[in-house]
Amino acid sequence: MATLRGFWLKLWRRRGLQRDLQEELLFHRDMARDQSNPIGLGNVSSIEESARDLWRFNLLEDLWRDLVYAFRSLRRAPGFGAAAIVTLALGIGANTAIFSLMYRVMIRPLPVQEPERLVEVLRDAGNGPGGAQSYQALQYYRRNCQSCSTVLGISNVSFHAVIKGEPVQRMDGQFVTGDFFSALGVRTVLGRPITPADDQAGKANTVAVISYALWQERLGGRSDVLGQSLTFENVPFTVIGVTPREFHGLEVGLDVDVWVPLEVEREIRRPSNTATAASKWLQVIAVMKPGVTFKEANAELTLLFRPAVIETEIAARNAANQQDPEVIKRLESWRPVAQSAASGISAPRRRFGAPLSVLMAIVVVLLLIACANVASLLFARALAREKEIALRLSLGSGRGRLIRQLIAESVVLSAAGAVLGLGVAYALSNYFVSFLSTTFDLDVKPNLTIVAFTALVGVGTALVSGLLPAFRSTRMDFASGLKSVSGGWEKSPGQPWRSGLVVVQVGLLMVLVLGAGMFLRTLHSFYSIDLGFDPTNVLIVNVDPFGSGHTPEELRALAPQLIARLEALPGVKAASLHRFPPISGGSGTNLDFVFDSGAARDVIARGVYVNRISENHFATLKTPILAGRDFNAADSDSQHRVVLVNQTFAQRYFGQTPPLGRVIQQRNTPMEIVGVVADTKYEDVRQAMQPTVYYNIFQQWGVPMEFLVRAEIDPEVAASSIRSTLRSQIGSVSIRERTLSEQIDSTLIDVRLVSTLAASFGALALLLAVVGLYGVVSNSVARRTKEIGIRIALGMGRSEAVAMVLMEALVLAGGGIVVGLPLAIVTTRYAATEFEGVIPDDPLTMIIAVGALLLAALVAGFLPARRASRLDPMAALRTE
Amino acid sequence: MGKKPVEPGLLQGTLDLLILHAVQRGPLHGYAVAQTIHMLSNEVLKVEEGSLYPALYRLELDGAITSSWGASENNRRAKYYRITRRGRKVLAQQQETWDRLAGAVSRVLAR
Repeated sequence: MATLRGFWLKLWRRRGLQRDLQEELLFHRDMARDQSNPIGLGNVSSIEESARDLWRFNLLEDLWRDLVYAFRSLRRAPGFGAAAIVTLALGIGANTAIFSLMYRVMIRPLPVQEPERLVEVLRDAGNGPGGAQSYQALQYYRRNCQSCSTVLGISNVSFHAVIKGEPVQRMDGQFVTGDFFSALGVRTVLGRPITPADDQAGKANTVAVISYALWQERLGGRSDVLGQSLTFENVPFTVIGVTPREFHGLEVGLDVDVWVPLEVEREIRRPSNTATAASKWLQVIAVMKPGVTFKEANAELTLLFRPAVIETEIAARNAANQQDPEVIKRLESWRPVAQSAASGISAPRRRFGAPLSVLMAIVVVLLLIACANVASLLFARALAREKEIALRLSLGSGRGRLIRQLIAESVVLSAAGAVLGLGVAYALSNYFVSFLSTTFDLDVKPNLTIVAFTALVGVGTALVSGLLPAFRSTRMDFASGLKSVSGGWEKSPGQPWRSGLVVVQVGLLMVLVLGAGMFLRTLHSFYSIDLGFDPTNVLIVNVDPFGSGHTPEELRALAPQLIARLEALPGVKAASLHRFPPISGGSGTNLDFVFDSGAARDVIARGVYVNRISENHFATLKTPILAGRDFNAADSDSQHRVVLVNQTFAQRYFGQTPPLGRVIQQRNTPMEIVGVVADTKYEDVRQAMQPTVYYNIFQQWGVPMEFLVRAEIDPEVAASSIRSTLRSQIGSVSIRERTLSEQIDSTLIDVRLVSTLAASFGALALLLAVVGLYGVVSNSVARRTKEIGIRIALGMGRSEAVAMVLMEALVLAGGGIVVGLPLAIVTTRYAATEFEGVIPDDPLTMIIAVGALLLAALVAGFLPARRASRLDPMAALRTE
Repeated sequence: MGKKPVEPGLLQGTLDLLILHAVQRGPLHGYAVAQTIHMLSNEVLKVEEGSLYPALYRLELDGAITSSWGASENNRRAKYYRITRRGRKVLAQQQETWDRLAGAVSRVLAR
């Protein structure tokens, strides 16, 4: 109490203190004089001082004085200050940027009540946790889970939405169980949330809760939005509520616009996904009861998995007469997984977790390298102030006081670096987001947590870079410090430490360079994989006719004409239709085929990839047809089903005999193989060639339509004439196009992200290390001026002088490489395990990385070496 | 902000006790505090400015007394100190300690 009071008194009254005291003493002495009082006078200034001392914040004020002093002395050395601050800003900024992404994707808790009670129910089918669940599984969990207060079901949907009088637009929506909002504790800022009463099977209410962003940006932000009607998939919905601004749903990277009751799905989709346990379309989130631990909930969910997931699906297949021992075997191999969903649903975390962790490690190493540079600069600065420090020590200045002052300097540097770093971070994270923008909505505006993180990194940086130089440079033997002359023989006390720092720096750099090399080489190898087609100048044009009034049948009739129109465009070489583009990035169809092999039993080809395409699909891709023929117009209307197969399919199931004319069956529909095409990659460039069957898209029609167009000109230029041609034929439809190269890029986003950034950060680190090495070598040349001068006077050649200095640089770098290479090998091996298709330990990459570092050492040593070789021996000897 | 050892000349802590005792009867300015102690001690104890003012400032920081400017008996501006509730408690404590100490010392000397 008293101290707090004292603190306030000090704060409020200290300004007037001096004046008060003087006036009081004056009064005292006047009184004494007037009354000729015998009480003696003290020493006025000592009274003032002791009174003032009482009223000072000693520690704080000393610290403040140190900071001001540091700031002033840095202003006298602007070059040093700027170099250090920029170095730190880059290091700290990179850390903040990656951290802010990591925070958004992996750490930030959801804006819901008690997010730690959310558990995502997944399965592991042998390739890690994932997978959606069926409606039947959800209902089973809801009925039976004792440790759950409820179990939520969520399904993402991209609605064709119509706001009164506006053209069709897409909105990210979710079907949610009626207790979604109450279980999460998410209230509405306007209106009411969806309730279980809205979500009754068979009599669900067509009501919608909309996001704050949708309300503000597209619906005018007025309160009369309640009761307004929005149309999704041609069904009118009534807006009943608006969610708070910070709530975007449970999935990181997806900003949901509308929520509707789950049971409404039956009204919208025909057939409904609720019909069979074979459709798996729901994210299932269990909400643990209060007091239940994750362990207990996990144990129960594990027990429920079999009846909920496996048995419901087997029952559904029995009912539909689709018993297949292979499918059942696959089902039985599934293992239950439960994961905490406190920071959101884990799909984006699974995708970006590994890249972000690797990048975080990279920027930490980058920051350490930056710290080493700044520490080295501080050593150099302490060296320059050697005499000052020695003098102050010899005059009785406390070492602690001096250390504090030197650290204050690091603190000022780091603080400036951190402030600048926040700006760097914002620019960098915007760049990342634009990199990810095709798949991800992320808000990277710095918030309190991120600023706090930056401040923490700043403090750490100040200590890491400042402690060692401060302690070392104040521990000198000051007698020799005073005596020492510049240009003398002695090595300064900081020099070995600076050399050590450079070795550490190069060692860390080795890790970064080898890592970046590994990712770049991998990325390059991905792009040199033979895809089986030529992706240059190919456009994918998606036409969604929803709301245009065209029926699918009309479009089917129009399609051949559309293709002909497109092919007639100048600059367009070929056009065709497909269901999935090549390198579909995970989407695709797998089916089982049965065919008569001539042996006693039918052969079953399981999980064969299927695509639906039109004539000229392979001509558009420049993929050769190896045997037989392409589809033709006559096939399209014929009842006789024909298919193409790829080479892998032909070889795997028919061996050497060409399969032309053979018949395969899918669900009892016979289809004749009329051609064999060369292999192409289906989902991902990293995947092996898969056996694939191609249907004629006209024999199995569906919307939306997707065209593949090969242009002879820049596809972006061709795109606008393609748009206008399509619009002139089928009116106002939604058209989205992307190039095939972009499509391929998007499937490689994790490796691209890491390799691009690792390469940039690696280059930055290389630059920092060159600067650090240069500093040390040039300093050593300066210190050895006299020695080198004498050697030259004694007949050492200029080139020998150059070699001598370069050798010093190379030895330092070599030391770093020896230290860093084993570390680099271990860490890159570890990082590689996190990525599909990344292979560590490539000798060529190692040789190039080591070569790059040695070359960097030569570059760093070049200027000092030249300076040494041009020394005038007489001048050098005269230097004092 | 810690307490510093009190003045030489007087037994440690005694000056605080004397000051608090002086101001407990009503607000006094610094000179009057010194005078009061001087007179009450039958002119034995002399408190110098050099000890008095640091002690006053410290007591104020500790919250035992407060100060305010007012007019003196000869109509000059003077700073008046008055005791706080906390000050009275401190005074009572210190007085008790002092009584025990003085009693103990005289008992020792009486033998």
